[in-house]
Amino acid sequence: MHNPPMPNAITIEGLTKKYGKLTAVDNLSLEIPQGAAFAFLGPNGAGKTTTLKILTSLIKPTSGEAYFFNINALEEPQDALLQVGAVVETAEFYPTLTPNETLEYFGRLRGMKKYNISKNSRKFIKLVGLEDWSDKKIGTFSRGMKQRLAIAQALLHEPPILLLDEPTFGLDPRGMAEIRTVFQNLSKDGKTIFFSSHLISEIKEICDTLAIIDKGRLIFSDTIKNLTKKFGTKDLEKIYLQTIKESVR
Amino acid sequence: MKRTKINRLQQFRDIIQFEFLKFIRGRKIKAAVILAVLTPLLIYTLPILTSSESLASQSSITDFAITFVQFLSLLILISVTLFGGDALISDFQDKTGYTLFTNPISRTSLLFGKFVAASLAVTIVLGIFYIILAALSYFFYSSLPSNLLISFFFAVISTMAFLSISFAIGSFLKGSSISYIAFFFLFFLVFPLVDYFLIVDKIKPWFSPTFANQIILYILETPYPEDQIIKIPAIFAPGQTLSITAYVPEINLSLGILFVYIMLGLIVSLFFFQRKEMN
Repeated sequence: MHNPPMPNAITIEGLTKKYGKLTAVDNLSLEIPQGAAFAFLGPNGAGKTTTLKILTSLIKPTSGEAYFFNINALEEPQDALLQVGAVVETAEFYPTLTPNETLEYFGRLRGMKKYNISKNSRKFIKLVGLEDWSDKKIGTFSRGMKQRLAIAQALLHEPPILLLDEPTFGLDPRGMAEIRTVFQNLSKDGKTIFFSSHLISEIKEICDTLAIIDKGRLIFSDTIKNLTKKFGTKDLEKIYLQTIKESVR
Repeated sequence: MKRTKINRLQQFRDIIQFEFLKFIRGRKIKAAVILAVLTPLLIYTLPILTSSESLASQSSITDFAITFVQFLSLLILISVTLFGGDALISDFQDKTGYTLFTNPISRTSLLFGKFVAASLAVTIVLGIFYIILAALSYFFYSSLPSNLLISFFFAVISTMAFLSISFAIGSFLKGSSISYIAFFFLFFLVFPLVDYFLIVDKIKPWFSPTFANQIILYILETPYPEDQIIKIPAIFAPGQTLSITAYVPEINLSLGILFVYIMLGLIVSLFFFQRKEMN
């Protein structure tokens, strides 16, 4: 018997976002298979965050399509967002709520059962190292602590897809290493990770596939294994800089 | 792949609960409660300090209550500004939308949840004002002003109409400061001026929310007053009189108008709020 092909975790088709005359994302198409740890790399203003904002329904595209599995993320955003945990830009939270209350609120918005919210809140608050702060008001938190909470809320409902925009931003080196290990383990568990970062060292440790975007356009997308073979070097930074240089020309 | 269906009614209830929790823990409710307590106490103590006579010794219970409720519009406007002015802006301005909107949340549920939570918060503030008024009335007259509860009910309806308008303003503006200013400008300048010039032109401003909300005050009078022509001495023509019509809002019509403002405000808010982006 012939099995139908497994749908990609994320499919982006001809995605474009224009702000007046400026094209932030230009006809972007990507296919990210299930279980991939996908790095989305590009200089400042390349269109990485705009793409993530479109995928998470924070903004609407000018044209194009995006799917999580077979769910159209633009036409059925709420169904699509159930498949996703996201950390976008510098996350902020309600200052008068505690991490436990915040996760309870978001868990309820996601239709999670009370028992699961409580169990997963404990689990992920511990995982991101906020267990001593779980009942303190977020208004007193540092940037790094808020970032840890952002990661916990993205993991709360154990989604199959994680969309991460500079997720280690604001963390100290030890925190970065801890969170990196979390993502490595999630990747091993078969989660699909869409990882936007400037930190090439981080990408090297977590991701197996890489796409480079500049001025809203996709420069290339391939597995890191194929890229290193093609460029004749294992130095991802060199590959990245060379690609961006050629793109500018 | 798991497909879960979200219970929208449950989500709506959760939004009300957490939006209300945010209000209860925030500084705004503390400021509004202090105002709700201080306003009636000042109305009572200031005449004693200035003329050595208390309000209770010189007026009937109806006049006593009216003196207090006259200042209620100000409390309503301040409370509505505090709770409604940035309700649809804060998630965009404070960046909390980056986490909130990545959840499968319906903007319709969010808007109505925020509206109900803000209405509840202002109702508590108004409730405190009316409880103090009732306590003072009972203390001095051993009875309560007639229709005090109905006046409170009308105050809640007016509050919802004003909140709805403040939501509509906030739904298309980007900053909370400009939203507060726009709301104050509308309710302290535009509507009162429109009311004034229409009344001078002998046109009853029945459609104005600031005119319709005066039923809060007039309901305390028994019987309910009617429009009347008042003759006043003409300043520039000695010996002659000028007639001015003192218009009184009709209860049913005014309630209808306030409901129309609630509906219109929410429809406009929803239209813009659903299109608002986290840029």
